[in-house]
Amino acid sequence: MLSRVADSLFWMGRYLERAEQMARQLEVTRDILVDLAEPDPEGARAEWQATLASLCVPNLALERLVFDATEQSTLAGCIGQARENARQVREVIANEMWERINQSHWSVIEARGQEHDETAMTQILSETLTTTATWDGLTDSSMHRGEAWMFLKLGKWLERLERIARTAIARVQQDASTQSSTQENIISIAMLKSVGAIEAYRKLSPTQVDRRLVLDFVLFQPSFPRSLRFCALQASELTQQLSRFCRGADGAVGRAFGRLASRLENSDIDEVIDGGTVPFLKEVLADASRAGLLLQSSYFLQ
Amino acid sequence: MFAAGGGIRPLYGALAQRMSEFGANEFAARQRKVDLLLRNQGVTFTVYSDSAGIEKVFPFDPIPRLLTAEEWTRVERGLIQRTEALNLFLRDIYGAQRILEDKIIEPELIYGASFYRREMVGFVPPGGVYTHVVGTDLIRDKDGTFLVLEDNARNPSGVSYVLGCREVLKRVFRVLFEQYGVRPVEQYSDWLREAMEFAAPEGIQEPNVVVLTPGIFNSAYFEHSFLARQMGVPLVEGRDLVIEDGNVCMRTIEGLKRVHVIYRRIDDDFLDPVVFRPDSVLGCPGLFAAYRGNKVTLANAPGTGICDDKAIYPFVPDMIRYYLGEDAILPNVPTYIAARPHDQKYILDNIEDLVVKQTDASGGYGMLIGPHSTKEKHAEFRDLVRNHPRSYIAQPTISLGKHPTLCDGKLEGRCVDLRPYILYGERIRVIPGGLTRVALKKGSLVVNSSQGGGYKDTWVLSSETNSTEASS
Repeated sequence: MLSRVADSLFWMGRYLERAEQMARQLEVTRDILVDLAEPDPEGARAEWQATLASLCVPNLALERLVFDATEQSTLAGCIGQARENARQVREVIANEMWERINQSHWSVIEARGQEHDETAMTQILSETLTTTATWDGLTDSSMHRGEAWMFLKLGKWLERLERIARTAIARVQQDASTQSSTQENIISIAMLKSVGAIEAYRKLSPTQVDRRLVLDFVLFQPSFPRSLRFCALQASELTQQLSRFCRGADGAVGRAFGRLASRLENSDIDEVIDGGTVPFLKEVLADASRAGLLLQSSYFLQ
Repeated sequence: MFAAGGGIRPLYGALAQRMSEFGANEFAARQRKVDLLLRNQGVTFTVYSDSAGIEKVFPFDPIPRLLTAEEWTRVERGLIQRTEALNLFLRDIYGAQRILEDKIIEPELIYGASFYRREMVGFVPPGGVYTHVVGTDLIRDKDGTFLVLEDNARNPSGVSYVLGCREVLKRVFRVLFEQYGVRPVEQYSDWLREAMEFAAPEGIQEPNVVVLTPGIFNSAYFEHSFLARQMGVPLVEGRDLVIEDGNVCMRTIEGLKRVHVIYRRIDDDFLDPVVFRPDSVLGCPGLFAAYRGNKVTLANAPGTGICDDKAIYPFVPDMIRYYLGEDAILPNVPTYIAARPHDQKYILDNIEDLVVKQTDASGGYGMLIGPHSTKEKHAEFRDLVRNHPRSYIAQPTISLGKHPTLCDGKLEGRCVDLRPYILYGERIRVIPGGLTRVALKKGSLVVNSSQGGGYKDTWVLSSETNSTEASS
């Protein structure tokens, strides 16, 4: 496989995951803002700031965050870039996968001019989630487990891990700056919802929503596909498989991902909280970014 | 489709019948479905001048154009003959140059051609094949005779539209295919791959074939990616290629991998900055040396553009006679060469009635259609012809054959041409049909996609279907 193609697959995986995370996060935030706007304008502002921070986007109005394709970090921008990458690798992905992302791209473009229409917004956010879910399904059901599939998935897991870590950082910081306990509950629920974990949490956790348990779940739950630990393990396993496929690369990539995975496997929530959650998450992010760069320099920049 | 009297030719009877059964609403709904399918598949081309939405869907007209088996057989034979002669001409012109010695063509016309490549002199590509893929533009005159309008021996594009629209048309208008035995076109990509593998340098058993594209911003990018996908070969850009030990290699995740055949969709000028344009970043430095060293095959060969030169075009019937000892099956459009004093005088005196074309331009650019133009334009082109005679030719304005086309929900006659695709591998083959381009603007003669043209599917009927049966 061409290095450039591997690079595009990796980024396509990342952009789609980013689009998914963004759509989910914005749906959650819109709901919360409806509740907060009147009784607690201060809380509403904090909620919006936390949203921007967890998405790593500039301070744009909601309409622009969704529809503005000229900005790279918006939802339209992510979909556009995922499509642009897909266009460059159409010969290695399934045709339906291309058609799906292409359709999504055109939907966003056609919705231009209706940015302030509530229904159009709801429609785009939910369509994005359907698209990414379909895309995931097509990836797993129609691609053979070769390098192309692995690079796509690696992009996905790495992006997901980063998004979750940033969401957790933003929520922990938001939590630290508010006093009331009802607020705290809202924030913990928001954290679960933004990573799509609320239903799984309720099934697996015996008590009600609790700050420590929520954090434990999002960081370390071993069987939930949107926990940090789960993402890191998946990515690490993929790099092991990849090194068996490609003779060229040495073991450095596998070791870097392995380190990231073992940090998340061998940590305990109480130790993390005692030592400072935010510094811990920042170390995880640094590990992930190092591993990502090493992956790129080993496979893409030949 | 229109008969001499203006009515519908009997051949189209069944088609017209089927279509009238749809009713306007049903038909419009199906047409929308066609457009949506084409857009979702990404069958697009890029318009450089339009910054609003640079990706456009090439307008597709759902009314197919029909060709009978007899009509097609003649076209096919003519194209095979022409392609064979052009390849012998290329081999000669970059070799012994007998055709110049025997005074069939003036040497000035060859050496003055901007697409003549001195770098190719003394080199014969594998099998003597220069043009692995040719797209020849044909028109029909008012008697229905097919004439060759121009040859495209460099990088003819458009075949992806032929394959793409056939697939979509089958899905949405399946019923129209009934009663007509339409010959398939899907084998094109297999034939293309066979032709590429056959072109491999001598001694290579299982050649690695790639498609070389200038990249995602090229107007034909969709086609490059489409053909790579259909053939199951990598789509590479110049930056993916590198020369190692004189061999062409591509950068893969496992390191360098050798490449044997490059179906290149970039122009000669950009292939190799060492030999051609030094500022090109689209190709690969050292590629041409590897080519001349028989380490890799380029398809088409560099230097085939001489066949596309409109001042060489008038000589193709002479070439056919000279190399093959046969008369041309498909005639040319009569052409006046400005570089010949007698012809030039005729052009200057009659410019209002002629189509004047720049010899090394394509895509409908650098062209004057006398009867549709202004006095100022006539004067401007007279000056151009006088000052740059080598760069201009003129032809009588041919009234292109018209074909019913859907315009705002109604059928109206629009001018069409036809570009069949000819593949030269172990032998020369033509896919039945080709790209029928249509001038969507009323009265326009220009069918190019860059200038308001659209396209249609072209149906070649198998010999078992005779026209009376189809029209009953």
